[in-house]
Amino acid sequence: MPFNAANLIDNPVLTRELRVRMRGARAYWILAGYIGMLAVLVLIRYYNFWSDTQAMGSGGSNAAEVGHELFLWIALPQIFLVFFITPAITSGAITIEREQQTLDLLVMTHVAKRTIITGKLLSAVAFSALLIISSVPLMSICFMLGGTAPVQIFTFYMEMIAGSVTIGAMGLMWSSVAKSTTYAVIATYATLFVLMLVVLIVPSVSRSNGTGTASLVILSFEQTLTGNYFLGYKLVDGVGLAALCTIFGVLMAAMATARLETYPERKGYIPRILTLLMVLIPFTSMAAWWYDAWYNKRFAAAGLNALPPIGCMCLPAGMIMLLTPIFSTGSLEPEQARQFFRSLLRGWKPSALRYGSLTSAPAFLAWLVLASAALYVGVFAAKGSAKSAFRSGGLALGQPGQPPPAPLVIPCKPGEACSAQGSTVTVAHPDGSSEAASVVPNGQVQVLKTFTNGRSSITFMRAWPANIPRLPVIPPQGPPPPTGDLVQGIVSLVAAILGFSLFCMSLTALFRTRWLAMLAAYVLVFTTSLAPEIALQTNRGGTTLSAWINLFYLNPMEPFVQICEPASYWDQRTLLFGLTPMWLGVTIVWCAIGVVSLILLLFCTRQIARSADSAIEYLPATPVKAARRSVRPTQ
Amino acid sequence: MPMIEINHLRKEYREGNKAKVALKDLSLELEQGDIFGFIGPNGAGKTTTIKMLATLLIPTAGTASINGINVVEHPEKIRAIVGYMPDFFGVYDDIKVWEYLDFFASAYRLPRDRRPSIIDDVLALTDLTEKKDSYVESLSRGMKQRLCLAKTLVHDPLVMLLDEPASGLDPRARIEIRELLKELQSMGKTIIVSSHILPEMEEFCNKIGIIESGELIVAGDVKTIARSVRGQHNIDVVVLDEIGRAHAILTGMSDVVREVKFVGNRRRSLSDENPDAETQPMERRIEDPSAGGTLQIGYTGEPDEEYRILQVLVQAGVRVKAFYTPETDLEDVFLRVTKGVVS
Ligand SMILES: Nc1ncnc2c1ncn2[C@@H]1O[C@H](COP(=O)(O)OP(=O)(O)O)[C@@H](O)[C@H]1O
Ligand SMILES: [Mg+2]
Repeated sequence: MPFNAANLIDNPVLTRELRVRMRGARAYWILAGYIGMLAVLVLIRYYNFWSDTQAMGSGGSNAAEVGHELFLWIALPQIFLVFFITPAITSGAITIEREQQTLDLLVMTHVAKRTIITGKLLSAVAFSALLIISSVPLMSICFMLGGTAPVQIFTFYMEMIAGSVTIGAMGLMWSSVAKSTTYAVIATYATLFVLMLVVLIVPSVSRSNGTGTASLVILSFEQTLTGNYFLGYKLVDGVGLAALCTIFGVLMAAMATARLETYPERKGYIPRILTLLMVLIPFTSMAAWWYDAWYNKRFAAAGLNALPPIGCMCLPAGMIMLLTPIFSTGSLEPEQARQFFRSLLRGWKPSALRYGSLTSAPAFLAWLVLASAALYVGVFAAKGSAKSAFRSGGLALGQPGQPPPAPLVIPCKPGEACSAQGSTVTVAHPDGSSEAASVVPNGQVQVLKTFTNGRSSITFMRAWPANIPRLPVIPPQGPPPPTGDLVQGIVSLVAAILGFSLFCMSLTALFRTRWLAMLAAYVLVFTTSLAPEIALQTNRGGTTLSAWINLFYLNPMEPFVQICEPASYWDQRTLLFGLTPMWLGVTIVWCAIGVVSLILLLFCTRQIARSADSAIEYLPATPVKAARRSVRPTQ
Repeated sequence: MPMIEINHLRKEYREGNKAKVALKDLSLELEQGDIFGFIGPNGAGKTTTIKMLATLLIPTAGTASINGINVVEHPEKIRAIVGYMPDFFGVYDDIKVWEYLDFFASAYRLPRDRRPSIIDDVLALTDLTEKKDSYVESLSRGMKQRLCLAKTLVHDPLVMLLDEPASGLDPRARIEIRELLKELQSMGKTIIVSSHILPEMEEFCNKIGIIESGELIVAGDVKTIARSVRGQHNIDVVVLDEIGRAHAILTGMSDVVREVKFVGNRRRSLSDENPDAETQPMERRIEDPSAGGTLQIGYTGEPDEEYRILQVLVQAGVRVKAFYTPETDLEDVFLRVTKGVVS
């Protein structure tokens, strides 16, 4: 169908949804109730403020504080609204049409599938936007009282709209996938819950947890998202997050669109391109951040301890690992099963990549890794030193060598025992309490106090506390352990992604249902990335590490962490292969898994092809001798 | 070029690891203007076939094309020229009849200024003009069925695929649908209409195909099929009295008459308003040989020599009131075919 600009505006799905949604008094009652509720909240708070001022003169509440508080009172119900009402509308959008048997009639028309999805999405977003925007007059009271910058309110509205697009699109995606509305709603809210947990927990964990590569990755990601740093520029607060949310939303909407197509596999390239953008855009900005932090000392004034730029490769490593089960599970068609190896090879051809067949998943994911590496080098080239991209690890940059294995004892006041480990200085007081200080990525000093009764508290300070000795400079000792650099890291990442992709495919072939395979793959990802971390944490200071620690070899981020921080990497970890560079360990382990998966796949696909060939015909043989004749007028 | 061309079409549904064959090997050709009655019991594979033509299902093997366009290769082009009415469909809540049609008119990308007149046209055609501002969910089942037909007509398709358009309707609604189909026929549309009930087809189909268990058993021109399947055709003889004697005379002419059935004392109505009621005449016992009634004979002689039977009866002094060939009785054909009595 030729592209027609008028069709963008003339969206029958949107027209119908809006007609129905605003029909009758219902929508107006919802609107009135919502505004009424907000107004009552504001009035109560404002009355308190007013009576305080009356009773105590201007010495009562601070107007700016009250203004900011009012802003929160109005903002919070809206966040709730966007997060809970939008998905409620969209998660039924497709399933209900399927259940009431109207979908076939709709997809038979000339409306493009993307028009159907945008219509559904816009109608849901439009409704929540109507509710959000109708609160603007109430927001003006905050202005009157002060305390909230206009740009803050602008950011808030922008993120609300972007958020409702994202979450609405997620509901739509589940709706196009799920068998029934019930499943769609459950899946949508479950995803929402997990997302919220991740968003709330990860940054707080990383902030309270020292200085390593992981926290720098999260810090740079955060700064990219909040717009504090985007490819070297400072944007309006929240633009980055809004943009990423929107791309993510468009990605999920595209997946929903593809599900509606007659031949979804012919449109496989759309989700793939969007995935590419979703990984590569933030990654490019992050690579630039790491470059600036390390070479240009851009954030040194804020007290940030930068690390070699190679550490930022952890982001694509982690993200692609998380994306692998999505692309590497699905249904194996009998034709693919019959010639499995040939179709795996064919997956590397551009046409197969475009159609997005299951067997082209390893190829796509490998290209994604290579594209990240290319962009990493590209950032270096743009900054004027492409060559140093290949020597951007800790060793090459002359970092100190192997640190002492035991905590360093530092001289301090009598009666107290002081020690330094990594970048943390611990002071044990005579009464049994202790204090530990370290510099966190944003430059502040984190102080952990442990009291005699076993309780503890964390405080953040701008400067190093006077009662704790400063971290001594550790002299370089002995030859550094081998690490490898960019090329080796990429080799290990490609090996890990290919191995994991084949593993997911063998799960698909084994279980024969996509969802079970995907679930198993994710359970595996999370256990293998959490188990060694937990083994490490529970064993701090101890000598016997549980064998789980060796699961680090399954984590493709570890090689980059080791390349980035060769000095402290082996402090705690006593792994199976000793001081063998992580990239080699990871490559070997994943190659082994890949080979085993291939053998398993060979076996399973044979089985699938065989059972497809011997398909049972249920139909009884009719006694009628077929008098089949083509119907042609006898002229 | 035939309007619809189906070659060795096959469909298997996957159930776990097994395949279930819903349609075995269907080949068919229809010309423009044909009204093809697709008949078969439930589960025979009619819906499967129609959905494949409508590009909603992908065939396992074989090809199908409409107006020379392959349904698998160019689903979008097919959807532009096909009007599809599913066997089960729903309507949107909270929407008026004209809005419903306007929705489909804009979904079919008709120019905005032409939509109102097209909506009025299809409403007039389907006799729903007074219901224009009613809510869709307030319509009766028959009206909803006609509304669905109306929306199928909005983009003026060349080919219409109607899956059991009259199922679940009361007699009056059925007749309305039947009249509507006749009207579409006169507009020159090529129509495939499926049904598991036969009599509603015979009036307007010029071709039929009978399908059972995924296999097309017979297909062709209605009259030709009736003849080739039966090897005989029925003649009804109505006499005023002495039915016993007439029965005896007819039974005696065994060279051209295969069977003689007494089917009742009244003349059978041709345009029976209730198609579910027995259109297949039951054979009864002659209670009173001197009374009048209707006899149905299976004639196996030359088609142009039927008058000889009438001649014999009249010469024997039987008071013949009527002597005629009833409309082709598909149900009869169907019963014979599906029992396997193909000559
Ligand atoms: N989605 C499906 N999955 C599995 N079997 C199906 C499916 N749809 C139809 N069938 C089977 O295919 C056969 C033909 O069905 P159908 O085409 O609906 O018959 P009809 O329309 O003639 O009643 C039936 O045996 C039915 O059970
Ligand atoms: Mg059916």
